[in-house]
Amino acid sequence: MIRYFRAFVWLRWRLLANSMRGARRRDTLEQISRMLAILTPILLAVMSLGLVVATSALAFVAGRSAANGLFDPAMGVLILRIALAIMLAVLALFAILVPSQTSLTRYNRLLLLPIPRRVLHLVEVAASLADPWLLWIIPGVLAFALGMAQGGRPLAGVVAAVAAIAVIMTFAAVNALLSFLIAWLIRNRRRSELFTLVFVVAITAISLLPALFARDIDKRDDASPSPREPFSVVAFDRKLPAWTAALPTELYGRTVLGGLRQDGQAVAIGLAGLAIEFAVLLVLSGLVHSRLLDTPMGGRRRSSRDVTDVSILRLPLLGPRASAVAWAQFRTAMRSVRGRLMTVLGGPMIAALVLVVLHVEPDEQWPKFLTAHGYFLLGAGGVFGLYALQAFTMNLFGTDRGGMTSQFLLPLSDAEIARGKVAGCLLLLMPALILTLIVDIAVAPNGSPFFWAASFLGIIATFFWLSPIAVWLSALFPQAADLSKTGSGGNPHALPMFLGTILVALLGAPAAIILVIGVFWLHQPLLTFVVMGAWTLLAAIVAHPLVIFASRTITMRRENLALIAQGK
Amino acid sequence: MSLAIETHGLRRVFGDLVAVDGIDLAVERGSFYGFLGPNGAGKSTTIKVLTGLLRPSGGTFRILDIDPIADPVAVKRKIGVVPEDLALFDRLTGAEHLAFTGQVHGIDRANIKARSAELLELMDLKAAAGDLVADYSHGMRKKIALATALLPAPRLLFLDEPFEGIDAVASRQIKDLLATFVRSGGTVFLTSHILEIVERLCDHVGIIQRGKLVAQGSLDALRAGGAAGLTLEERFLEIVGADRAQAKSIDWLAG
Repeated sequence: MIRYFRAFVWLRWRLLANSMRGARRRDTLEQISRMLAILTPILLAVMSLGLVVATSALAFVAGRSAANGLFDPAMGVLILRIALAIMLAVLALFAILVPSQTSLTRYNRLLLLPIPRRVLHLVEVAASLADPWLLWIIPGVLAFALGMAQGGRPLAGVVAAVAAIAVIMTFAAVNALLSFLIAWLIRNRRRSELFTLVFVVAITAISLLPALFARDIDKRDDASPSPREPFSVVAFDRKLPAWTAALPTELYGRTVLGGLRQDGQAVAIGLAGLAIEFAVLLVLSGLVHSRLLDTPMGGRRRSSRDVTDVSILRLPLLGPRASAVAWAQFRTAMRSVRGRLMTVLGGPMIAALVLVVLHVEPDEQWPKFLTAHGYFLLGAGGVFGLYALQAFTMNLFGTDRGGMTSQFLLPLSDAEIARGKVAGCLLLLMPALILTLIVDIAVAPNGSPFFWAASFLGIIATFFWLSPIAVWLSALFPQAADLSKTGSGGNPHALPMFLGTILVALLGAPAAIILVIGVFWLHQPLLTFVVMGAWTLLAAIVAHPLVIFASRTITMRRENLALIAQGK
Repeated sequence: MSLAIETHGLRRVFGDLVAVDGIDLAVERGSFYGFLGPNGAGKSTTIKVLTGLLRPSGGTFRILDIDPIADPVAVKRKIGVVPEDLALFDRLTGAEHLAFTGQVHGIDRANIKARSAELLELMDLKAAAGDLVADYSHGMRKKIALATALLPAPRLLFLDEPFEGIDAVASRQIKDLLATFVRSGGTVFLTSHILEIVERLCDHVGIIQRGKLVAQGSLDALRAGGAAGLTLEERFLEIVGADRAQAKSIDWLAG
């Protein structure tokens, strides 16, 4: 068992170390680009380390104070229970989300190794101890136990340490069970992508629910004004639903508190509960793991349509070759999770936000303002769309993979590739903008149609201004990205993404100013529309030669772009 | 006869690794040229340089009498390529790949449809034409890559290991198709590790080892250079210096 564990630790270490080695086939700029991409998570890790140290120190002091009777131990333990419950929720969330970002290949490949399945399962469960969220809480709960021991309650400290180990192991088992379960549920590409899409939309919708109910809760509070009682842990515990007593965090709290109060029965019940939960979760995760290993990969759906006649529309002002590139960009993006999310999330989310605001604050001034000037909602939705579009605009040559190589092998000039890619992104923005427009008109159908049209054009103008910079940054900092992933695996290089965030705001500012001046100072809808139209036309006229100029960077970086496309 | 591929001192280095070391290729038009070499010899790098995916570090070359450095698009109008990694969009269907390639080559819609139907039929991909390439098996991906390379009716085909992973029926059909293509004046530049296929299909062979072109000529001339009655495999092993005597036994493998 130990040798397998050592082998897996070594494997993870080598994968990390090798990812930092520069490949021989890269140029200097590519090496810098890779270094920047690697430095970001390292910086985050270093910053997290400080947080872990601070949390541990705080937990140590809290443990010692609780042991010394400096404050109510129940309160200290309550804080730990809440912190652990939040961590359990985060852990569960990531356990659900992460398998949808990885491939089942990882599990099936391990079957080729001469390792018994049972051992493989245990190694996988143990490996979840290396989860960053668990790594964060382990020092904290152990430091709390150490603080208690150092504060003169060594026995209670030992109990707390045992409870800490038990709760961490239970967390690891929960993590493993959920990971395996989700990996099994989403065992092929289509299921995985559908799951990710539904999950992200559901999480976004659920996040709006508290705000929706806030008004009712406020009303209830207003209706029954009662003198505010001092906070009591006992009263808080009484309000908790009965089922929460079975949560590992609650069992941990009961055990630690039992240790401090020298209540042997509470300690025994708490530890037994944690042990049973760990055992049950381990057995269940073992069963799912075994099922997962036996799951065949792939699974295809056959199309029965006659599909030999595929038409590619020639786009206005673009030649047939650039149109084909735009069409391929649009089709492939719309079939990816990122592309679909970009289209369906922006408009409905803005509309849902407005509905929530109207529900919660119907008498306030600013909701009234929003409903009177719905075109500002369209502008906000458009900016949201431009940000969501960054996965494509800021990584024009890193998302097609083999498709990019294909474009380099076909009779396409670099200018045609650049123009086609930009046009493809504009095509991609259109459904998102149109959906946002429809939803916003349904929610806040006020204001002159010319203001609405001006707002729409303002987003298009911002896109045009952004496009040459997008070509240039994409060619300089390409990153092989998988658009089926909502996490970092589908993101562009950190630098273009950061610059893009600033640039969208900067380049969108003139359009916003035109709209604001037109609405509030000039009160001239038609004039605002004409000025915005001129601004958009100017953006298109200036952007076109600049995109062609920026495409020279593709010529210079073609070899690196081809290597990125090949995943090298 | 004019040359389809002509290189002089073609060289490509990656840092301190010389992948292609001054090779002089001469591939005649209308020939079926097999480009052989052990793993890591520089075959795929050579194809990448010739097709414009990599820049040469030195030397000159011409493809179908065109300088690819000066006019890369003109060369690409006349060639078809099945590269090592197949170069396919994962999220386009097989039929869409063909339509995309056809439009980029300026072929009209009716012709794209007719050619696509024939190629999909030939490759036994008609039923899967509407599926995303991401859902294709390796063999199906290879076949659609080959169909895509053939659709614009190129005059020169670069095929990097085209028969690897393809079933026997399709393999036979593709071989026949390629033979017809060469008979009609087209040129095929093919790399393969399956020497029987090369021996059956190719009329000219070049052998590259550690980046250097160590042999080149017609298949008969190449065989005639060695002892009488040698197969291509035996002659190949002789040229690259990997004869059977070097295949020393590994004692522990015998159990």
